[in-house]
Amino acid sequence: MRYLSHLDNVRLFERAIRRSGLPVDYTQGYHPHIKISFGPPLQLGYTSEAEFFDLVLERPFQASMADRLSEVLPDGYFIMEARPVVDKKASLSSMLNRAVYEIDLITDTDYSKQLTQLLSNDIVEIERTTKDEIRVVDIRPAIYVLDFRGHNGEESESAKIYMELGVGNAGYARPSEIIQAAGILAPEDLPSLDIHRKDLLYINESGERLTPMEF
Amino acid sequence: MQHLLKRKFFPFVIKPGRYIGGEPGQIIKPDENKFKVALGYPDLYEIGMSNLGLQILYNIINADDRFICERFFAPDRDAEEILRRENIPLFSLENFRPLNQFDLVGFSLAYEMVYTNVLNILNLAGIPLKASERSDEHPLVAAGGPIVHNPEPVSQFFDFFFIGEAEDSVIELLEVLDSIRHLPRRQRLEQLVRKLSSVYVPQFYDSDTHKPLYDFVPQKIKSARTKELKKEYYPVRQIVPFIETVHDRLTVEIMRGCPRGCRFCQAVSIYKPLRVRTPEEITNQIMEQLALTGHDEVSLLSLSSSDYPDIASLMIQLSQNLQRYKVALSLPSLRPDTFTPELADAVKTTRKTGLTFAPEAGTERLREVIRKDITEDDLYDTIRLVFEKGWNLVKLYFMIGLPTETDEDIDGIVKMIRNVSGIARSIKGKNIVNVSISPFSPKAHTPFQWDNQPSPDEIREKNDYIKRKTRSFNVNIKLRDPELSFLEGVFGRGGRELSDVIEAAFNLGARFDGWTEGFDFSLWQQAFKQNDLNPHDYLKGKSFDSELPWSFIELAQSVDYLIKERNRERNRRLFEAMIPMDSDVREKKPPGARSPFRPPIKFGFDGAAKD
Repeated sequence: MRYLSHLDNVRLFERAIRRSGLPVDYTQGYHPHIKISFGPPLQLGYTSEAEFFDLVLERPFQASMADRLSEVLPDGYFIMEARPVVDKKASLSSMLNRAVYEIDLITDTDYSKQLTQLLSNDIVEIERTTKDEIRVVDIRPAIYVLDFRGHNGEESESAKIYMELGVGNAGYARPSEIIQAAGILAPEDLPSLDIHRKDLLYINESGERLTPMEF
Repeated sequence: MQHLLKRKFFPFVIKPGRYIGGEPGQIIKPDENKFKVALGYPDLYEIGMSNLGLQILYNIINADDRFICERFFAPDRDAEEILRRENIPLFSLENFRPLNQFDLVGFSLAYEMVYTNVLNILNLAGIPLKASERSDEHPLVAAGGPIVHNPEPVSQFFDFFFIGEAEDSVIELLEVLDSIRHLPRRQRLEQLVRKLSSVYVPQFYDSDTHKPLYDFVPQKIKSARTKELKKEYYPVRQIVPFIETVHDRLTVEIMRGCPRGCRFCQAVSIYKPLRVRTPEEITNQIMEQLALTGHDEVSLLSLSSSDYPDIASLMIQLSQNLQRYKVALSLPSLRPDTFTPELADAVKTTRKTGLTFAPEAGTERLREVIRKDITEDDLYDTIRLVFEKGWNLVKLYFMIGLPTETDEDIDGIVKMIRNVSGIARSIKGKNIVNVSISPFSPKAHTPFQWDNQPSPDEIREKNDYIKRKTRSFNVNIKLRDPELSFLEGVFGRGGRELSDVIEAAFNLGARFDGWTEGFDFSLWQQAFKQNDLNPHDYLKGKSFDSELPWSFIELAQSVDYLIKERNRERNRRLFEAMIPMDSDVREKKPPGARSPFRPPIKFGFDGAAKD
């Protein structure tokens, strides 16, 4: 999963679903497609234990379906949990608004200060390259938690940074952008980072933290 | 190795999906003391994985417990840079094993312009470029594929070539090599030559006279034919790529060989006789493969699917079957006379990706000379039908610079484009006409192998003319790079001396020459200059008694047959041109001439012609 783009992963799941023979529903027309919709894309180069999709079935949901799909997925992929959803109102990608990441670092430096410093700014401007232009974006509103989880007093060179960032249409930030903005790594070294998505959440008006399995 | 790649390579390349392997259908075997074959296609993963031949051999070799076969492809430039900087040897996708740790490294060569990629792969794997520079510790380096029917331009780089179709012999070849693994290289090659009549070892021939240097070396090499397209040759599970490839669908071979005799076409000469798979076998394979791969599109593969016996009923039956599984059947390139209203209706629910027609030449006269029996009326009727039945895209293929071509033939192309564009406009819908025009380059083993190839300048002139004349027709004209076809012609008909040119171009930085964005003609000009060779010398026509670099390779048809084939329509036309228009002699055909348009050829499943 780590080295594939979002589109590659979508195709991978569609093919696995076809191999599994699950009773899925298709769109109408000359180019029938499986009715499937994914949550916010995972960046190429990241790993994850919290990816979600909605899949429309032709027949009632059965718990065994998740296993059937897991069996035909390539190594490194499996279905952790599945549940039936009735009367779905909004898409995953429009609901989910918070992503939780863990970044592994091999370092003996304590970066707490850099992260605190970044959080104390009112504006964090970074450059984002889209198709043919470079835009300056303030990602500060999409930064919620940055936490250096260091060496725990052990003589270890590995440390973790925990991040909670905005995701989706309301504004997002990428872990690599934070690492760069905080001055932890130079841009050319960013691809080597081990960035892991721990969770995708919907935080509602009253501040409840819900996973897609709960809303 | 895997750890190194994870730290230094995968995260930094543009498309890591090209190098990670692990796709469904990939075969990984435990690393025992088995004979190891690295099998590769010297272009990007996306191109190489679209090649069915590679998957067939991968399947045959891995189906045998004694052998391990793993894949490799050409790294893109960004990946090459990292491999070189980090000193990582080029590796196989299955086990990330450096290529120089295999017993045999085999290349599938389908196209002349990949030669610099071959050298780059060898170089990145730490294998000396020239066969003569390799020691016993290095793998044997071999090549096969259609273009090795003139292996001479790359003969210095390979220890041996397998000439022809390999399905029936590949296991025997590996058995021989496996049993003599411990012997010195030269003796291993000797045993191969002794056991297999389609193995060519260039170093066993005198480099000037091409005479065999030893008595066990045959004068002639026989191009191998696969007797029967056996079911077990095809992969049980085709590998399903993670990233999008150029043919991102299930490909199923329905027939090998071509009953037509287009005189410019090398494939027609090489893939003989015609071998046809039964509809049951094809259908079974498709249904089995779909369940195992999860593809949502199927395409039928052959040189001329229209000539498959009763192609219409096969397509109709398949598309009904596939519809239930929401799988699309993509139409192969069809001859106008097989695209009937029934077929159109039956397959109308499939993905309408556009239909391709290849008249190749602009006048009936030239189409006769090249033996492309398509009539304009048939073509126009069919294209009308295509647009009426709801397709919106028609592709036309033409060649320019064909033997005997005159201005009239070029005007004929313009006229045909105008007519097709007129049809497109006269029928409701957003109808698109794409026209591809490629320069002719004569191919070894074809009736045109002695013919002159026009220079890039002549081609450019014709291109400009066609472009100017068709500007107002509302069609998309795609012109092939004249320099690219020029070099294809040079390497298609050149000899041993070209190895040095290829190596020089590689050293100057040439890579991916078949890609418009990768191709830098100036590097090749330099490479020729460094070797005191003039590439234009290779364009000239050759006399029938001249020694051709590929004449030691034997195919089904004789040279006499090729000569007769070449001259047939050409002489009749010359004869006609000498006689005044109103003469009644003109009505009478010279002896031996055939009627210009033969009725469609019908074939049974045994490949034999039927009345």
